[in-house]
Amino acid sequence: MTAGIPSARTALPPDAQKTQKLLDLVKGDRYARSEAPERDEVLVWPHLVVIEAIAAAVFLVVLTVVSIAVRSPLESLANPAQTPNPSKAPWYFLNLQELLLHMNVALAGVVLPGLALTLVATIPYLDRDPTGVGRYFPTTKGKQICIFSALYTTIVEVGLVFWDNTYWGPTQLLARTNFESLPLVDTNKATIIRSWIIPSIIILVFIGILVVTTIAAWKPTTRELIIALFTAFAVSYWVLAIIGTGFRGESQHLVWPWNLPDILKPNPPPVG
Amino acid sequence: MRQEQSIGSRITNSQVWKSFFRHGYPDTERNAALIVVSNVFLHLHPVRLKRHALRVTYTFCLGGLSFFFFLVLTVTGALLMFYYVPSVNQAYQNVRDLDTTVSFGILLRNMHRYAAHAMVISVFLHMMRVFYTGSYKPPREFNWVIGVGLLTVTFLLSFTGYLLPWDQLSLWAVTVGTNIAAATPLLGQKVQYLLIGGPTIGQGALIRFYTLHVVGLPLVASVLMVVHFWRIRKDGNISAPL
Repeated sequence: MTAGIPSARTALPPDAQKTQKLLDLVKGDRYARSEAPERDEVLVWPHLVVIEAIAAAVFLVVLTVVSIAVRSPLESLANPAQTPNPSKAPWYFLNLQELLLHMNVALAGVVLPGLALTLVATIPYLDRDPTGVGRYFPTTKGKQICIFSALYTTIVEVGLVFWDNTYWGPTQLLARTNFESLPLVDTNKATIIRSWIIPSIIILVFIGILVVTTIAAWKPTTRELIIALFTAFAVSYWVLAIIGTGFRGESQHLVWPWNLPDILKPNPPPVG
Repeated sequence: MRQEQSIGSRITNSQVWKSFFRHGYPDTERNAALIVVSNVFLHLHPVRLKRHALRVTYTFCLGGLSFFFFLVLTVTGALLMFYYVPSVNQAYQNVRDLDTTVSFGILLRNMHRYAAHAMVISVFLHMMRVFYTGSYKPPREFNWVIGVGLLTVTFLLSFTGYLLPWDQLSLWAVTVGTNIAAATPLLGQKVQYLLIGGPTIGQGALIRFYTLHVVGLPLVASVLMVVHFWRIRKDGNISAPL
C-alpha cells in the first residue's frame, strides 16, 4: 500500500484524464523500504502476474500427469479387528512415530512437537535484530552454522536410530537396567525414568552439544544461534520422516526401502 | 467523412464491455496500475514491487504454490463431495466407485491426494524459505506466527482427509495418530474422545473428520490466509534487503 499509491500517481502521464485520489498517508522509514524506491521497482502487471501464471500452469500440468500415471492406494475395507503390520501414520507424521519407538508416547507425540512448534512461533520475538532481511544467509557464519547443524543433526539422528536398534542401545539397555531395585523407585517411577527422563536427557545433551559447539566455533549472534536450532528442527523433521517412511518395515524393524513389506510399496495394484 | 468503427472497437466501446473492464488494455503504465487496483483478485498484489521480488530463486514460488494447491484441493474436493457419503457403510464403496466407474473419478481422487501431499511439502519449505531469508523480522513477526498456525492447519487438513477413504490404510493411520493424541498428559482420554467421538474409530470419528475436513478446517485456513496475505501487504510486501 505504501509502495503503491505514490508510485502509481507518479506513473501517470501528465495529460491523464483521471487523477488518483489520495487514500492514505503513511510515515516513511520502515524496514521494508529502500532508500531509492523508484529505481528498482517494476509493475506487478505484467512482471509478477506472468510468473505466477506460468508457475500455476506448470504445476497444474505436473500434477495432472502424475495423477494420470500413479494410482492412489486403496486397500481393503477398514477392519478394526485386523491390525496391519506395520501400521503407519501418514508420512508427514512418521517423524513423530519414529520418536515413539525410542521414548514415551506423550513425550514423542505431544510434548516434543508442541514445544518445537511453540518455539518456532516465538522466533521473531527471540531474534530482535531487524537487520539481515531479504537475502539467504547474509552472513558467512550463518551459512557455515546452517551446514554444520544440518550435517550434525543428520549424523546424530541416523546414528541414534542405529544405536537404539542394538543390544547396547538405550531402549534395550534401559529395559535391562533394574531401576526398581533403587531405593524409593517403584514400577511407575522406573517407567518414567526409562521413557521420559533418560530420553529427555539424551535429547537435551545432543542439543546442548550443538549449541556449545556453535558458540565455541563461531561466537554467533542470536540470529545465527537460532539458525543452528531451526536447522536442527527442520532437518529432524525430514530425516526422521524419511527413516519412518522408507526404512521401517514389519513391526517397525529397520529395513532397506526395497525390502519394505508389499502393503507399504507405492503404486499398489487396484483392489479386486 | 465518417470514421468507420471496426466491430472490435464497437464492442470495446460498448457500455457492457466498459462496465466489465473498467480500464483499457493493460499495455500502458496507467492501465497496468488500474488493472491491479480495480480487480479484487489482483489487488492482493501491490501495483509495483521491487525487481528483487521477482527472482524465482528467492521465493521459489513456495507461498504462491501453497495457495495454488489449496485452490486445487478446494475444487477437486468439492467435486469429490458429489460422490462421497461419510457413512461407514458407504464411504469405502463410494471411493471404489470413484476408482472404477465414475468418469475421471480416479483422476480427481489422485489429484486431490497428491495436491494434499504437495501442499504439506510446499508449506513446510515456504516456512524454511521465510526463515532463512530472515523474513520474519520486524514488521513481519505477527505474520510468521500466523504462518505457523497455517502449517498446523495444513497438517490437520491432510490428516482429517486421510480417514475418509475408510480402508485399512486410513483406519490404521488415523488410529496411530489419535493414539498419540490420547497420550496427551492429563487431557489425553478427553482429547481422543473429542477427536473420534467414541472409544474406537467408527461412524463418530468418520463424521467428525469429514465435517472438519470439508467445512471447519478449510474455513479456519481461509481466515488465516486472508490475514496472512493482508499482512504481507501491510508489512511492506515481500521482504527485501534493506
